[in-house]
Amino acid sequence: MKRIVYLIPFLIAFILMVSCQEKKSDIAEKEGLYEVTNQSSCVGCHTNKALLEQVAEPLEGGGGEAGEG
Amino acid sequence: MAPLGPAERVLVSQQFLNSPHGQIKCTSCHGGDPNTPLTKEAKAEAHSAQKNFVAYPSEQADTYCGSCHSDKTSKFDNALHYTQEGYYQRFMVRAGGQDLRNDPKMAAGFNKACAKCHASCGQCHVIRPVSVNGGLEKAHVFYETPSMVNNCTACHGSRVGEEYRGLHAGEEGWPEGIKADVHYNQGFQCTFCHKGHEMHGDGTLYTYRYVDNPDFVPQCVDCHQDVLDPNTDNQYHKTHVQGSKKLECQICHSQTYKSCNSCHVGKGITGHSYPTFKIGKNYMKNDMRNYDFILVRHIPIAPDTYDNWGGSISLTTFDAAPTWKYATPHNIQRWTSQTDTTGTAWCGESCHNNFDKYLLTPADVDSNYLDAELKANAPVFVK
Repeated sequence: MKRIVYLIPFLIAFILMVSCQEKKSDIAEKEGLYEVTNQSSCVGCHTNKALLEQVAEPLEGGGGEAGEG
Repeated sequence: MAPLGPAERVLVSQQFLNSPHGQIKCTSCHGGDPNTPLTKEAKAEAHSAQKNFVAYPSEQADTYCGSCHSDKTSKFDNALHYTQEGYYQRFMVRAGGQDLRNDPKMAAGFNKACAKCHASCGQCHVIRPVSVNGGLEKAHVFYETPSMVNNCTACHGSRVGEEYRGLHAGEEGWPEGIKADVHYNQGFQCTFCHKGHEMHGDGTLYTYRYVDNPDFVPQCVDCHQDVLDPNTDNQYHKTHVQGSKKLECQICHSQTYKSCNSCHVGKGITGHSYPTFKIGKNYMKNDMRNYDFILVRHIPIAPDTYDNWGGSISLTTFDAAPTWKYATPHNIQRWTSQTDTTGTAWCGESCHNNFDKYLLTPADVDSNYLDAELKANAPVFVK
């Protein structure tokens, strides 16, 4: 029983830490900039075409063929 | 070549993630910060120099590619596609031996106008060339053989690409019936003749693309060995290839090709590109190119071409190299205006009766730079 009593503060701290952490997807929603994605890592963005279409910026020139030879 | 959309340029596929390169952490090659929130500001920060973001890792091939591909990267450091040494050296020939890299203004002008034609590993094997704004060609999947259209002719497009694919057909000023290269019609891509070892180099710092190294110079006779057969029935080959006066193969087997005037640095000779077919003397005869006559094209250079760069180096020895130089057209056909003898009185009529049109003479030079062009091309004029 004593063991459980000692563990309670740690459990409360753990629960608070997890529940108060602001999730990256929440930020995206709040900012209203991007669709929600589960990952904010490189792969999370760069494999999500719909997301990239919202955030990728067009380059000047737009491509085509070039060169001297 | 249709450009990639903004999203397509940076989209990564599952196929890449499953590939050997996909097993490497993104940040191992690209740096950056993967743990940023999804805001616009954070996106910029994640891809910032402060976070050590590297957009084009293969610009530092020894660092990022060399640990697995050192057999290639150790040589490619000195390859012409990477060093652009050919540009620098040709400039030196016309500038009294002065190196533009030693003049900050000239170097800046070069970096702005010419350096985009530099190529790294990635520009052939994973992205499109930076000169056409780059972008992941196959959603980051690496490929051994570059795409003819989206890699090779993305840079080599204005002459080679258009001629090879027959894109001048129907264009104003070009002869009727101009065709794509016969090798293109057979399905051959650039790499059929231009192999990897030519692109990667052998580690030697060459100074010119017309290197005297048989391994790097695709020759027609590599495949068409019958042309050199002393017992051949082909009298043209006997006379013009095996005879005492040798012609470059293209003289008979090329169609009309492109010459250029204006250079994109903004000064110098002006005017649009134009169709030509000109035979000149071989001003650069060597073991690999022992022809007496070659096809030549006008290149977009004049004594004042680089004046807008504001540097202290000028082209004081402009006439040390011709402005009509090796053409190397990529529009080969067996039957051309020169070889087709249909309805002619004798076998050489198509060509020999058109010498006034075909042979390069002083009348062909640009009148705005008459003296310079006459001196520069003196070794090339046939009459």
